[in-house]
Amino acid sequence: MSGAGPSDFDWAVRAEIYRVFADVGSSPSFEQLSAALDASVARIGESVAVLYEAHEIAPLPDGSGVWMANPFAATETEYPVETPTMTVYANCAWDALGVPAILGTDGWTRTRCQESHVPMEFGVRDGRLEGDDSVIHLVTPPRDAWLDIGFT
Amino acid sequence: MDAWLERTGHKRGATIDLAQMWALVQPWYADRLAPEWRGRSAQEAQAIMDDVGLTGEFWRLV
Repeated sequence: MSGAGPSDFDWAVRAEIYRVFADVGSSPSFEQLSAALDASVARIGESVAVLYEAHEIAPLPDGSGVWMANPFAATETEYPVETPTMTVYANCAWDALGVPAILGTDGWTRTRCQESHVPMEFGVRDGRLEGDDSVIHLVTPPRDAWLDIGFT
Repeated sequence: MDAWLERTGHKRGATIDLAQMWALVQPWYADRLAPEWRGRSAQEAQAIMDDVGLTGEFWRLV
């Protein structure tokens, strides 16, 4: 991490990104963030860059928008989470359970084992954890997660 | 898993069952929607992992 860390405005950008993800299951665009926070698109991009350094928000590889706000993914992934009101994409198996945790709702994921390709499903129903008798294999130690957040 | 590790060249990481993952993600994500969120220190994150029994080098943040 470099610099002085996120400013109050940067944190406000982060809060708006999470608010929209939680409301509709997808990320706001930079243009929508610009309108919501009365700032230029360029300023939003600068904030997202700072939030990336702070390990809070990952921008798309081309810098044009938000990619990840853990546990939420802005693009389709192998981990769609069906909540009572929407389908949200999670970044990984960890985050597939993170979605019901952060939203405080049920959330069910139908996916496949990334190693054997066997279908698997798990999640929270009626507030209870349910699912296949499976284990999650984490390749990257959490301390290294942001070295290559896309792979993680 | 061994075949996958050999095919991809990845090193074996850590395995965790769904119950333990659920125990982890609840405190991990509990307060992240709050507008006043200002990040979490490595020590605070470590305490969450320790509390749910995730110990050992793989889970070591600090």
